[in-house]
Amino acid sequence: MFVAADAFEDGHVERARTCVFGSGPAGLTLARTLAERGEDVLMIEAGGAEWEYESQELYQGQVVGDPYFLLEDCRLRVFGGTSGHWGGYCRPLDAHDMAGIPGNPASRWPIGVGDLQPYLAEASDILESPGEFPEQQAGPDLVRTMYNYSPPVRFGDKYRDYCETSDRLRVCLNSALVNMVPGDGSADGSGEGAGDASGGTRIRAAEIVTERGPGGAEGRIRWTVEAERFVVCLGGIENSRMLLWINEQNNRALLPDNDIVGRYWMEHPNDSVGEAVLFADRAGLFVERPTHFTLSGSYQQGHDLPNAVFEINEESYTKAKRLAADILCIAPPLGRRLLDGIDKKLVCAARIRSQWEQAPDPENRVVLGDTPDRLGIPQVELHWRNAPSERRTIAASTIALARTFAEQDIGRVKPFDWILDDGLPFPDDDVIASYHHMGGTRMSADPAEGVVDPDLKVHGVENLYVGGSSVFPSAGYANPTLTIVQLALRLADHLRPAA
Amino acid sequence: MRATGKTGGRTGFWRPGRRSFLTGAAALALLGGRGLWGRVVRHRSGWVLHERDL
Repeated sequence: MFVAADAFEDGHVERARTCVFGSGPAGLTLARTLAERGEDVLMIEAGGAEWEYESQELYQGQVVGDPYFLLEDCRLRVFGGTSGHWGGYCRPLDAHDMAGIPGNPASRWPIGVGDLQPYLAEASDILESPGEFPEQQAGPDLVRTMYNYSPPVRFGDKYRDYCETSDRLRVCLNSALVNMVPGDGSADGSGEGAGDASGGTRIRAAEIVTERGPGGAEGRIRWTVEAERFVVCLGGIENSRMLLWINEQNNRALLPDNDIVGRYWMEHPNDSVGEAVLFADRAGLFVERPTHFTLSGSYQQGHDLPNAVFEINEESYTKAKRLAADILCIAPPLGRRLLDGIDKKLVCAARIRSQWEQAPDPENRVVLGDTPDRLGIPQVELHWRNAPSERRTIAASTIALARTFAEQDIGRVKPFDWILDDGLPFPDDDVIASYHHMGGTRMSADPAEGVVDPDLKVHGVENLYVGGSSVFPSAGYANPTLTIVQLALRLADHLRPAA
Repeated sequence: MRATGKTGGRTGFWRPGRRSFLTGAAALALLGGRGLWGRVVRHRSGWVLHERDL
């Protein structure tokens, strides 16, 4: 049920077994799954039922480094979270993604693809997309891979009725997490259990501010949640921001002193890498459009390459004619073959767009800025740069794709000049990112190298968990939503296994 | 939806005016096979072609 938090009195205390912050794909999946299993769940959403400028402006922040989207544009502070921006691309991470990028131990996951596979079918069902991802070997080093497509599911729309009718899941809107108060190591703050084997801090309560009216024009209520465990699912930037801020308010004593929170933040750079003429049947374009190709895992591992995918987007008949005419001048037999194929609709032109994995870099990070928002929380400052290695990744991968397309007679590729000359700018846009916010609260078995453990529990805190793509140690090329939902279902199993 | 000058100017490795072929050379070195390009060539037009095409 939705609870009218704006009717609470100052100092109100709400209690639950589990408190989940955020109602995006991670938060809503987790909260609903737990509630379905009989758990008493309270979900706190900072945004309202509908998009409001006054809510969204609390996502403003600064970007230091390469051009990036406005931080108040590339995520949503509303019931359903950033699923409202989602394009619907579904794909799980590859096994070699979780094994890590060769030579980059920071990119290795402490869990394997086998830990997420059991949740693939249910996650796909939630996202209303097929759960099978068949691949075809298209050459010794090349795989024709595939995405599935969600409608896309908008979590706020899909689960609004459920939230209204559930008697186990309570939802408070327009209510922002502003602080957490540690207890003394016992579950109820009594001191009992303070010396348990784990020896970590426990969160006793979370402090919440609910705004009445747009931007708090009609006042604010400060209230508290007491719960046995808290799960932060605020998104790939806010998770880091809030952990940093809560730690700051607790004199930096809440989290391990390892300066990891916020670091290793990642995006999926993407850009057009070339144009091509393709034999449509060999490129799979009679089966689906667009098609996707990737280099095999063994090729990537053998050449120290992060992962990348190439999307083949068909272009016009006129463009095909023009490209074939270009080739006719330099390779007449091929040019004639292409022109003949175009007239028979067996050959088409395509623009090749790639989305590639950004190697985790500790200098790409979320930090607290100097300017407070209207709730007094420092605005986020996002440090993000494409390292020179990103150019190497995409150049080497594109050339390998072009070579294999020629060898296997799938088509012929003309990589753009910037692929071979890293002094040239990216061609399409100043911003070469994807609204995919990953890392910052990375998962690691070793507390010195990560923020959460393989069960997504914050190192050093006994009852605080993190959900969402901020826990990714590395990013692969797959759009993150399916993995976010898989991880949320896995976390639900950890917190309350199905009966 | 796009970033403006607020997010800073163009910086970093793709700064206009800088020319480096290191990436290209490194990428070519990764191709493996028979020599850098095997039976595949990059024509001066930019097209990556198989030797049987020519």
